[in-house]
Amino acid sequence: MYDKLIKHIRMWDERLTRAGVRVGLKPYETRYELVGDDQMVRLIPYVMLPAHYRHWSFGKKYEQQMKDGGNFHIFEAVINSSPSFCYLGVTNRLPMQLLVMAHAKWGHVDFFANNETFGDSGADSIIERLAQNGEFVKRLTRDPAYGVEKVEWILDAAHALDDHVGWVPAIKDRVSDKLVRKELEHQLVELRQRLKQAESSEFESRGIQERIDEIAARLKRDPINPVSDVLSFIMDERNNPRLGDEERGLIAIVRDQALYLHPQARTKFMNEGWASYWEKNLLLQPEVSMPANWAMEMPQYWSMHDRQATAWYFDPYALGLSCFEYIDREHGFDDGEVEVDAPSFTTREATAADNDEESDFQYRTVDGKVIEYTGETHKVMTVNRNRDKMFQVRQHHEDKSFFREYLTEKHVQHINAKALEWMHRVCGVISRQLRASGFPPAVSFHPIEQKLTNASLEVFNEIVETWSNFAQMGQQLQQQGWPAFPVPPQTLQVMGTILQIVAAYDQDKAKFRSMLILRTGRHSIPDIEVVDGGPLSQDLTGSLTLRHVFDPTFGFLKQSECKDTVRYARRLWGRPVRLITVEQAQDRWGRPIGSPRPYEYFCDEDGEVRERYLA
Amino acid sequence: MQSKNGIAIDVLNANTPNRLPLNVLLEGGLTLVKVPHGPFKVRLITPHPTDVAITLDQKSLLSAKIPAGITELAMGQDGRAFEFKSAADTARGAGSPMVCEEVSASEVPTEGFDEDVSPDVLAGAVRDVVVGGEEALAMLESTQPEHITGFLIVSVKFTEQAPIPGVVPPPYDEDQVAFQMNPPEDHNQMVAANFHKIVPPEKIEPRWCSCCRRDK
Repeated sequence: MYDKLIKHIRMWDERLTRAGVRVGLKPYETRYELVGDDQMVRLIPYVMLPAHYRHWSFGKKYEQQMKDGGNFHIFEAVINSSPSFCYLGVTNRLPMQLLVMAHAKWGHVDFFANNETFGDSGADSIIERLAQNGEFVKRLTRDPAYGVEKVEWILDAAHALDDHVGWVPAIKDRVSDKLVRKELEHQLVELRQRLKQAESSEFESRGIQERIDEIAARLKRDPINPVSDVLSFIMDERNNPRLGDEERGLIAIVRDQALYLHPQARTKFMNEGWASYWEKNLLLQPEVSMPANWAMEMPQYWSMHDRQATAWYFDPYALGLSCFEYIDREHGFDDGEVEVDAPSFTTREATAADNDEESDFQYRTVDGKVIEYTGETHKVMTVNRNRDKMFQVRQHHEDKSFFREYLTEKHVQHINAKALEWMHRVCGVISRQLRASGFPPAVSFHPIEQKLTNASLEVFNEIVETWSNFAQMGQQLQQQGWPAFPVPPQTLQVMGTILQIVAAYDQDKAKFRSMLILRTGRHSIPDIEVVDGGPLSQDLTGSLTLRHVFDPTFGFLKQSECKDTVRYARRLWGRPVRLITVEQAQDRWGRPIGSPRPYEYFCDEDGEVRERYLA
Repeated sequence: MQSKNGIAIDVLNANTPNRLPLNVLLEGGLTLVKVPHGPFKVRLITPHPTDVAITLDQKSLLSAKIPAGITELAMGQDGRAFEFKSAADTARGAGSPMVCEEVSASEVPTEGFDEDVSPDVLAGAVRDVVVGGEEALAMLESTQPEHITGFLIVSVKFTEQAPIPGVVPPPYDEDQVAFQMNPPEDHNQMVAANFHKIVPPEKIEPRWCSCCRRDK
């Protein structure tokens, strides 16, 4: 059975490769592995690598997954490594396996290999690194002088800060702190000389003095430029010499993994959109030539993330896909024809033995004849689609810039129009159902086509609000003799949400788009940076000052998370830690009270976190 | 909106009582409701007799005991119909408008805080803490409503009842459900500004499993 399955997977992989290479995809070499559901769920918290280091939080993730989904099915998992490893769910049906291979290898692995955000993720050495890290942690855990509790003490704290490892990819030619300090000192000397010369006017002198104060204040900081890689700053021997080699090693492991995983979070929507685009478009290439029975089955898989209209705004797969399709529509074009090798096959009438064959291995024509692939190919002509723009976007963007540039007004309007068209269709279906169930025209809005001709949002509002009322009261109305309301409240909730989204977009397009971008990937993680690591060349008893770069669009931080941040940073830094942010009192429903003001969280050796407004 | 006890609580526009106004749930539990200024009702569908308390803009409207089933509440204890008024109308009326409680600007406490950090460094950190500086902060302040109207809290608790043999009695703990009513334009604005906090509607999953087509 497995031999047969593997033989078929190989055949389809060869075809996908022919098509993928021709359209310009360049994934890493990829190795497939068939994995059971249980094994897949167990390995996901460990980045799919059994050699990964152990920590209780991974077990917790596993337990949560089991609790949330129970016996759910994961179709695939893929590792950003070179060569890449692609785990296929062993219980996937063969047509699903084909789709998953196109999605994972020709979508995700191509994205890992070519998107610049992944440039520093070290894909070629990650397997070895993770294995080494696993060994290091195992050794420390088993070392009686160190032990599991100490390892977890450090790993817990490092995990709490692992979102703050700086921008990925790193800025290569950033000027060092040493050079900046030298330059500022030079400027300070010059400015003081100018001030002494007293040739300048009072106005000029005041300007010079302000500049002197500003530079002098900056020179007191160490680092001079804020550092967003908090973990790196903390583990640097020059900043934190008290940290032992073991602790430094553990922090380095967590930082390394964070740097490896961050690009995935930063490109979640793009990556899933790219993979969803190719899982469909690659399978439609003549080199693949799916049998008719599979081609009939595929659309339901392709629409898996697309079948609920609200997913077009919230779901990484659907929103990412629609953006790439938009780019293809706007910038792609058919560029002549090209000759390709398509698999040859013969057909014959089905026999009883063919019908007994397991359905996965049945390849049929539209009229039910059996397809037998000969192993040969023949030449066919196909359209050569120019997707240069899509490939450029895949290379240079991450979610934030991708949506800023391509979630254009025109595109959002396209999504809105599609959503309203969906509403139109669903209203028709519901109206007919209501009429058939015996609801009066005041409720079924029959004939709805008349009502919906040139329908405005207000008309939709009236319809959805009326039906929502009946759906909500369904059970009680039934007791009063009304027929059962045939539509679940969920459907009407989706319709109501669509109407509100469209209206909100019409009201304030800029705000809506910026808030939508905020929903994506890592943009829900605040920017925290080190602005001071204590006085230089003293007894290194200085405190660490962290600053949350407050973005009014992002909003305020959660107090409990701020407290945890300073508490865990204190554990690693070994001295007092403060976090400066902006805070505003809120009621329990998140409504603001008073004005926002700078705020400090402070943690000293007692572990208690104190808070205060600073102005 | 469903309370944790399974009591359905909805705000209705009293002029269109057969329509359930559009609403959207935000993370944190606040429901934004699109409803014009004017009279409104609160509808409760509860499986057991329930104690209800309703406050609008921190002013108590009603405290009552309702039977199991559907109850529509439209009138306060003072005999006046529930009305969602604009801030200006509220100010003109008898009650003073609900002004946001101002956090008093007090002296910066120092006890328990390590002051080893240079004041210049701290001042610099504070000065640069906001993207866009003072202007952005001022803009943020300008978007804070001075007067808030339409903030409705419905508190519900099952009225204590003699347990029926063999039936597990319902929980008696109190739950609060909060609504922020807004007239249509303001509602649209609120949805746009809070889009990142919207809780998406539950997915409508097909009943069959997409991988094996077995009925779920």
